[in-house]
Amino acid sequence: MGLLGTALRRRAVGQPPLFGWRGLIVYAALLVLMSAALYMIFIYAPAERVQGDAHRLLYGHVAVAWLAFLAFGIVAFASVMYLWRRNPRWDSLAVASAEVGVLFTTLTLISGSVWGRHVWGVWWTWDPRLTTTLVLWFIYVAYLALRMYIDNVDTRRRVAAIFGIVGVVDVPIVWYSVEWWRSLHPVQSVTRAGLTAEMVLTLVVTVVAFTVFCFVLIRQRYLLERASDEGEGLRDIVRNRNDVLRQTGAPSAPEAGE
Amino acid sequence: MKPVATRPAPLATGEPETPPPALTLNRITVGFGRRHVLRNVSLSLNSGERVALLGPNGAGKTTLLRTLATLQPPLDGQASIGGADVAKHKRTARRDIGFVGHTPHLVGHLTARENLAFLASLYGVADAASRVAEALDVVGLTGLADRRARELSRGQLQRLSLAASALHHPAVLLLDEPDASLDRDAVRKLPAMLDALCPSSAVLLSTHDPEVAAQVAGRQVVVDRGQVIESGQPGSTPQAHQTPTGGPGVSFFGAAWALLRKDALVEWRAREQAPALLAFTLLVTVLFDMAFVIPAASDAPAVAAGVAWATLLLVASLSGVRLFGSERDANTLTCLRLAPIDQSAVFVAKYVVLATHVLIVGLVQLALLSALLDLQLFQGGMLATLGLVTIALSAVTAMLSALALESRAREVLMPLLAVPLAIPVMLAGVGATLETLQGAPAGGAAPWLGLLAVVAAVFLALSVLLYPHAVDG
Amino acid sequence: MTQELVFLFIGYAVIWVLLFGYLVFITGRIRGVRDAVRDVRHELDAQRQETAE
Repeated sequence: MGLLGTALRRRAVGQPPLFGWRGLIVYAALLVLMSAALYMIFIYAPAERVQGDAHRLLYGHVAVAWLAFLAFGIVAFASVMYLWRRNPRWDSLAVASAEVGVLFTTLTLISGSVWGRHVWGVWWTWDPRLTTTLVLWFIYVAYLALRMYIDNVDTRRRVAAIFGIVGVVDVPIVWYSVEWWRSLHPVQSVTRAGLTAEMVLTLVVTVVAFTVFCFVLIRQRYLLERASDEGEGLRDIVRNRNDVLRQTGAPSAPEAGE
Repeated sequence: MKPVATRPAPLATGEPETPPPALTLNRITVGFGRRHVLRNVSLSLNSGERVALLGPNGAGKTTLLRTLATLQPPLDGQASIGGADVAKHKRTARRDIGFVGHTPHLVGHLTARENLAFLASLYGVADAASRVAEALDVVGLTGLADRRARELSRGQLQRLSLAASALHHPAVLLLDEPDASLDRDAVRKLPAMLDALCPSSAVLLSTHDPEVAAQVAGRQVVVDRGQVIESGQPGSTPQAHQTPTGGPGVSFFGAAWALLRKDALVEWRAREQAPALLAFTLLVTVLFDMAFVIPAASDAPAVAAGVAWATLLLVASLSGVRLFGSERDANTLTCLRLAPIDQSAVFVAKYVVLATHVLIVGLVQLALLSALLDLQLFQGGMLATLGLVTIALSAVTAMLSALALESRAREVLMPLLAVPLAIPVMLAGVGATLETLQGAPAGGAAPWLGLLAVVAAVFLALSVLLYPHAVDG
Repeated sequence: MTQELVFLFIGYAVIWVLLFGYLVFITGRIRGVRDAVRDVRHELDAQRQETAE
């Protein structure tokens, strides 16, 4: 409510809007998709024979898990583009995608854990998928930590891009190593009954809805990064100007700004 | 970086028959992000000319020199040395540059002579031994040639830095406040030293002492708040650069070998890493062994596998912090960045250093665990696993060491970066160890060893490819 | 049945709260940063006019 209310109020008092009409359409579509997904997950999709209603959690779980990996793919792509083109926009996309990726990976781990507690009776087990997702989460967090600890902007972008690429290359290796590692030990197999057509449709709608949500989040985070960069640049411009003004003895502007 | 249209340098001397200037700055702007430290600076120096950069602190003198030394790329405009653009053709430009920074870029544990010999090998100086002796003589350090750099005084170090920077007859010699730590007598001798060391080099030195500027330089350029206020008259008659510059340069392996020899010598003298790492290994292993007081002998292989590789990961990430960090703290990384070598050679040399440390620690570790757990660990399968784990683990941590170089709190960051990326190495190491020790049929460990080889290959390839991006912009 | 539904609601509640919380947080921060940038820009423009006069 707050979001829409603020947006309309700002439009009314003539402040620059938070999002244009195109944005409003996207948010409306998002709302419709998310409601549809909720309806289908809870009411439309039939109960499953073995797991009963618990399987309904899997629709959301599959969707956030896919997006966790997709976001990391975007980090890698943007990192390669940054090293190649050296355009800060690619770096902004990489950091936006990494942060949203951490969020989705966290959601994957939590929803998977809740489901596992119910179906397997444990919160955690060293299943290859779980393990790989956990490692993915660690790599994302390391990526963000690395960025946080480097002060020089150019160095930060460069180094983060390299780590982004290396991290993504590592993920399939982690997957194979965990798979082999676990295959040496007996693993309790999960019974997977066949999916009905309703279930498949529900899954598709849920994945689409969450994917749209994910892209909206990445876009917002990207815009935030660009805005901060602009603020950074503006502060530099004020300082440059003050340097010139000081030479001519004129009064200087306050060196404030975000 | 935007391509910049070439404009005629406003200060270039025009006659077609005169040789091109040794150094040209064409309307360059330098800064960090959008913060400009230098704005629209143009300047040109002929061979053999000596120019002083005067100006108060924070005027941009050091930034100007660092830009010319290829250490800081300009945001706009062009800077070239001997005709090579410092941003686009770094390696070519670096052959023609000698740079003395604020702090000496010398290796403390090497003697004065060894320092110069090391640099001569990086620059591919011909007839190195006699050139080194000559340079030492000119700066008056022959008597102290076999004393380690860390035992020299500030002024002696400064003179040694001067000799080091002029060793390869650079077309341009850049001196950042050479008078800062020299006594009056040495400053007075500076012009004579330059005459003897590199008579035909163009010399650009920064200072805030007008007296020094008058003594050493024929022309004075005043810089203030990032702009040239006054640039004097272009120097005497331009003369051709006498000595041949831009030689063939050093090969990749030549450079890597020179770096390795230097690191081995430093480690032998300083004993900075090996004793600490071995003590650490002993402590961790004993601690683990105490923690797992083993109920059944059948668990011993599992404990051995876990303890051995986990300890090695800790050792590698500890050692990785120092690997590039020590060079950076001692300011010698700048010296490596200035050298006209393939920067990946630096990575390869550092990688071999780290792998050697890890391998030694790993062997000690196997001996310790053999004794503590009563296992026979010195067997073919285990040694092969150790070798491959060493190669793969060092590849991961050496690369991260280079990445974490410019970060705050490297010590905290390193394990955070290394542990997730090294998980495949750990799993493969444990897998191979269990297969070997539990007497699985021959070849049971092979897939794991293959996985280790793949990890090693992937990370080494990525590192060699990306390392120049990490350090050199 | 009831226990199943509890798990279900916990699972989805966590997902929704985190996703929407993040969206609101980021949008709020964009607004803050943009407003600050605009203020500095206005100040700079005003000053530019002063010096021009």
